[in-house]
Amino acid sequence: MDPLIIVPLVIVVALFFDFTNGFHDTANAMATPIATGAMKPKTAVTVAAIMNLLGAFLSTQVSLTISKGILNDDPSSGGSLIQPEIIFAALTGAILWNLLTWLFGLPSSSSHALFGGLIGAAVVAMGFSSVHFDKVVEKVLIPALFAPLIAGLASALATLTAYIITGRSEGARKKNGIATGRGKFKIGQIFSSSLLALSHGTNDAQKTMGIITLVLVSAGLVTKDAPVQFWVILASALAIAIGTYTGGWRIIKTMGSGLSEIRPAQGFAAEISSGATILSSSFLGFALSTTQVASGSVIGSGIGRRGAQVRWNKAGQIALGWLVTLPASAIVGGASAYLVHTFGITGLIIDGIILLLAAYGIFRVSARNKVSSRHVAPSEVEVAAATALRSPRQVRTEAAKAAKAAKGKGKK
Amino acid sequence: MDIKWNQLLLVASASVVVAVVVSALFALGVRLITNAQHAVPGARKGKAADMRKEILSRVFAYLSFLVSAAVLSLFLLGILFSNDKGVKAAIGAFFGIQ
Repeated sequence: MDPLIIVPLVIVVALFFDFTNGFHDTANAMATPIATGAMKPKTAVTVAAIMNLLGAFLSTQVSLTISKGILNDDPSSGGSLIQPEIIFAALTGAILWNLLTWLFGLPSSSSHALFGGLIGAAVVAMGFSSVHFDKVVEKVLIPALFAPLIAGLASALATLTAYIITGRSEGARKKNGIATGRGKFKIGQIFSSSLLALSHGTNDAQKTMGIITLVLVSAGLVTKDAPVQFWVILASALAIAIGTYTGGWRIIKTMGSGLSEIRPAQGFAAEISSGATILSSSFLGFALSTTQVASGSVIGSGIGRRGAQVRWNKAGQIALGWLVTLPASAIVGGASAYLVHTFGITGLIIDGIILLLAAYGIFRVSARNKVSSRHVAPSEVEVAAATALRSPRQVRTEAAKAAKAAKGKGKK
Repeated sequence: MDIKWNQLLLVASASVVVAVVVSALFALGVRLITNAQHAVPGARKGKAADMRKEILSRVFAYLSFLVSAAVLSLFLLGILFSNDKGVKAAIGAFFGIQ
């Protein structure tokens, strides 16, 4: 296929994927500070966009290893070099899955959608020998299983620790008129969520840089050992930042209030746990999904605070989404690759039209039930209630004490 | 299939330790600063015990916040900028990972 057609097309689609990745993942860092009122929604997405932009410039270490190990690019063992058409098909699958999960407000992994698209497209275009399935288990499935568990455990323990340290007995609070001061965690949340957004930019913008560089290499426009071009870094950074600024309000709503009722100390613990898990895993070469880590942390913070409720049915829906992500995007990527493989340039045009129509349709459906920044911010009453109201456990304990006291009086 | 269980365990333990330590230090700061604020009315009236309590609580609270930020910053900087293979190998050797 003519590189003059395919290369610009793949770059545009890759940048659109980067954009969807940005707005899909805004929730990872900003859902909890918005839910606790630590930051106003628009301020939060602006901070996240700036941090993602900065993060994208911090490292290009993994940008050239996007498909390393998972796809077999060694011709001597039945594999072949990855072609721009396959990348285009993979991106189609990933974008459609990102848009669909955004429509349902499900925080799914953009990285897994991309891996799924790549696997599906490679299998259809080059056969099963083009994929190292053992590496898929090792690099994608096992980390996917452990990411939310590790982040959840860290978050639950961090929340519990924070509540124990700041805890004061009801008696001491009444006697001295002293509060727990847990509202002050909101200040910490501003820093912890910014850190999380920075690590997201460092991690996720590189996927697009890697894809564009891969296309440039396969078209012979740059050499395999050449560093990532500055315009590639700039374009990827801007695309993810603009996407982040757009704000995936549906997913922010799910992560902020759909999984568990979040208070400032929990939000702080969840963000610190997510940041620590993402950073330590990327250091040791595990491709953990930032979305799965952030979701696990939010659930963990709900487990760690006594009296907090975790909405397990919503968590179950999200987990189901995670299970389906890889095969679903693989199917779309495979179908897209089939069209390109069979019909050449015509297939590519059909793919592009289908992608545009599907994206348009999803945006039209989403407009019927619009979720904006106004729907995710807690009202003043909710913020006040979160600190003034007693937890269900406290209410139960007080009722039991009152009943006991009444019984004692009755005996006398 | 070569699943690196040791590394996964290291990710889990590093995440838990960093999250708990940073949260604990910040929470300690919150508790101390709340104590300091509680002592303010007494300190304004000139009560020596409250004045001492306010100053000490405030100093240790800010120290707690500072250490918490330092732990997190060191962790972040260490990971972002230690892509050096020698550093990775040294850390790997320390934890017995190839």
